[in-house]
Amino acid sequence: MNDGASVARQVDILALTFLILRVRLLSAWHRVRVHGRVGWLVPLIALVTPLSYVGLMSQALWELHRRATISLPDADQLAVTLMVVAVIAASFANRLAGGLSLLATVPENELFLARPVSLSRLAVARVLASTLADPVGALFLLPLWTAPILVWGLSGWALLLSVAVSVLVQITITGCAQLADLLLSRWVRPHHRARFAVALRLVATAALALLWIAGTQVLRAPQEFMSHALALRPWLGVGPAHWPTAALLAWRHGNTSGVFMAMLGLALAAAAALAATSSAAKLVSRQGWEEPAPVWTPRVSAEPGAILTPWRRELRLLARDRGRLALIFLVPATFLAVPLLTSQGWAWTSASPSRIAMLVFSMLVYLAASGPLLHMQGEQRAFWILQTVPVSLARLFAMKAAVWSALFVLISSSSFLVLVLAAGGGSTGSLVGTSALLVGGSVGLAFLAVGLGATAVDLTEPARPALGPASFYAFLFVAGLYNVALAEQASVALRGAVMFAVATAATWHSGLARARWAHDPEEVRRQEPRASDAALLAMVVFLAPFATERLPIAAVEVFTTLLHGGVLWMGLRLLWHWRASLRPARGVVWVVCAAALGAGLSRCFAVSPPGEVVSNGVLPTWVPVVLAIAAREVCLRGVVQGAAEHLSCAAAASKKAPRWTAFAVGVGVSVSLELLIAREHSWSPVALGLTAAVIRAATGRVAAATAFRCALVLSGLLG
Amino acid sequence: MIRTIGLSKRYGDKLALNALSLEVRAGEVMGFLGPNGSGKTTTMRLLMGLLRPSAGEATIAGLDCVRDSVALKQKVGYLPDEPFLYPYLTGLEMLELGAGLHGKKAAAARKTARAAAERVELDETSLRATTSTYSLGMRKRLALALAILHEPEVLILDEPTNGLDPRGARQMRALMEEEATRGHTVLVSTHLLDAAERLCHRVAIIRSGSLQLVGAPAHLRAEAAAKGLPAQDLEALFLGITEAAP
Repeated sequence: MNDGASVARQVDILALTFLILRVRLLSAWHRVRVHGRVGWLVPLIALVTPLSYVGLMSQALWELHRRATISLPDADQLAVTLMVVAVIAASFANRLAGGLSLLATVPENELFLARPVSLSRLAVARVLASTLADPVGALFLLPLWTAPILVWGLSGWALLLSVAVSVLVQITITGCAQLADLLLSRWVRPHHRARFAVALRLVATAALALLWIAGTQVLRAPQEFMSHALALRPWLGVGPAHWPTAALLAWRHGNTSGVFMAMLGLALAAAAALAATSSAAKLVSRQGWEEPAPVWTPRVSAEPGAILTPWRRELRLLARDRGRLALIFLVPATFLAVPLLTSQGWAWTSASPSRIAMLVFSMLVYLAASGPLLHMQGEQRAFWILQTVPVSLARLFAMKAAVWSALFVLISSSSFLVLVLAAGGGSTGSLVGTSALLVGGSVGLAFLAVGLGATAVDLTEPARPALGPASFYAFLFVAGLYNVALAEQASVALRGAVMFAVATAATWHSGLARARWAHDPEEVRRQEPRASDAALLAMVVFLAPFATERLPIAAVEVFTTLLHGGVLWMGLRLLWHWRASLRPARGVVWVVCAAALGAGLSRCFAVSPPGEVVSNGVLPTWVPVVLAIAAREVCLRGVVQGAAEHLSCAAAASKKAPRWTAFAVGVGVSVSLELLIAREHSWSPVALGLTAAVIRAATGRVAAATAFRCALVLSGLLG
Repeated sequence: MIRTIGLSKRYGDKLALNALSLEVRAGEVMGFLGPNGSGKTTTMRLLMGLLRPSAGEATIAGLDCVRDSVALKQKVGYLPDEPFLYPYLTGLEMLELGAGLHGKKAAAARKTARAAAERVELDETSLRATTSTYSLGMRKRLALALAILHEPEVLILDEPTNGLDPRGARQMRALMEEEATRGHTVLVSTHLLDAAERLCHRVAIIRSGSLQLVGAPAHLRAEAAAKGLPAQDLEALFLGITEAAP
């Protein structure tokens, strides 16, 4: 594909970047417009996840800052550098491993290459456009940098600096990944590319395992990091590993020329990556460019085997999906090898059975995201076959989940055993208890992945990918909750495990309901309450205190205000979408009556604000209180109770059960979840939750329940 | 206008196209016929520079399909068998993207997009809908509009009538005739043999990657009849050639 004499007639790189960027942004906009229902999840998780990382990192840096000794005054700087290097390595390795499928069989390539666009310009424009169109990817270093900016008290300009660094690093990473992709696609024979893919996946998994261990050590055991930091100093203090953090450190020390030189270095690295990508594209297309075949080509023929049962079908699908099969062996092996063969993080990882279980479970979450969840992507296209056989979808899905459960239990038990034997220690009771929790989590994980995969299905548009980022984020989010069950004390662990079970069951229920009518555009577009949405929002409220308690006091008010504001917005958005399905609310006068009831009761009982609310004087005292109460009420009384009422009504309608049963179920579910979420178990959460739920059930108004609780708390608070 | 000399393509051990030598003249509609898997799509993708030839060469309007593939695409419009459309772009946005890739600025791109949509009779409502809601026929029309929006001298159409209703298929044929009367060249693959017989100036029949026959339908039928082969229509001739023992 020689540019030759046609260079002047081609669209230039900036214009091409703009065109691709426009396509990405318009597509995203239309997707949100058409599927507004799932649109709430991505922003919610995009808000909560970085905030949590900022919180955890700030706490770790405060700890390092406080404990810094004369021999190691720069421990916090080393920690920041280590985390940044680990994140960049993992990001690069993943881009590289995913790159082999970036060019192969991407249908948009034909659209572009059938027009006067050379491969070299397309490759460079795509790197730039994909960086600019993906704010999560482009700003991937921002959460890590926000923490030191807060802890070191740097100005807002440092944030802008971190944005620029993050974008430049991402362009370099994506450019290098595209470069490697082009070279491998052109020069490596198809049957050897599979080996490269395995090797790259191995590197990516090892990088993820290192990130997990390095991150865990810095975030959860900063004091232990101090003992290792001296050994890391020669690696992190100079050389390429230092480059991405050099600008921030220079800014911290007021070294303007240092900042300039660091930024210049990063910009040159990004430009070099783009130039190399462009040159490689020109080189590989000199004799004509041809789309490579997919790396993992399925076996073209197979001997007829035993008659397929649902169970056997799952095993056969798995056995023939060679890419995934390789992954299933590689991931556990790498996650076991990294802590066993390196000293990094081993002491922390092996300190107790629960920590070993956390490592194993984290590995399983990664496996499940690449295994059953991704497997549902292909499976959804086969739904029409599944729905024409006389077997219920529930049974077929249960079979799928059972096969993956058995595999996960096998992997988790054996990995746990190997690590426990290597670490030694731990009482029999704790080993048995932890392994039971791990087995339970492994089973739940498989059901969660299959349920969530079905929740997203939409077969009304053939071109639509079955799983989007929302599905993956939601999966990682819900699965991550189980770490609470593994890591915390018994009572909290029990609540975490129950919450995980509730979320899994709700997701399973919603997945089956969605899959049943996945071919019907009316049903797919219908905006009605779903158990999985309610469970997800309840989980955010459940996890909020865990994130808050790890934050430095100075950041708590800002964090909780943002979090409650986010939950409130998401909850109201869901209620707005569901408004046609929820029963009509009574008049505004009921809100006034509920507020009066709350104010009246406040003279008899002293009720304190919700536990997670802390006022540092940044905002008037009543603002975080009202925000916290409103967020909780909209979540529990609006979304959870509303969904429970609606689903009970739908079930009751077919069974001719009275409508009040649905109200009772709604009240029961919302109060039960309130009990799960409450950290202090006294009479007040039960009584208050029950009263608010009854008010909501009687009036149909979330505002009435919110007014009641606000009046009750504020009357006492403000005197 | 289109010329291939000994053009071959091998996928691993399989020879998908075997030394194809073919010429399509300016202002001609050439039907490219063959059973499924005979190498029609491979040939068209080779002409578009989307596949690397194993041997031989191909030129369009004097431009080499490998060496000058970027310049060549200024002159050629391509309709793939299964065209890719971004599901969450509207028809108009897709056409604007196509015009943009041909170097048109925003205002000119919109004007070009509307003109192309008008030629394939895509109405305003369709243009404002996302392509995920399109029927198969509408997708084909939009893809055709994408292929013709830069007024190409050569059109390469892979199964353009697949999925079209009778009216749509007739419009598609009318468009091809109109292109030919304007002096443009059309290479079209199709399984609708009666339509090919009426529309195409010449047809080429390919089987297992090898060219079997090329010529005007009436001439080919006369030749076949002279040899005692079934030749009452193009379909009989096609079946006689493609089902005969190799």
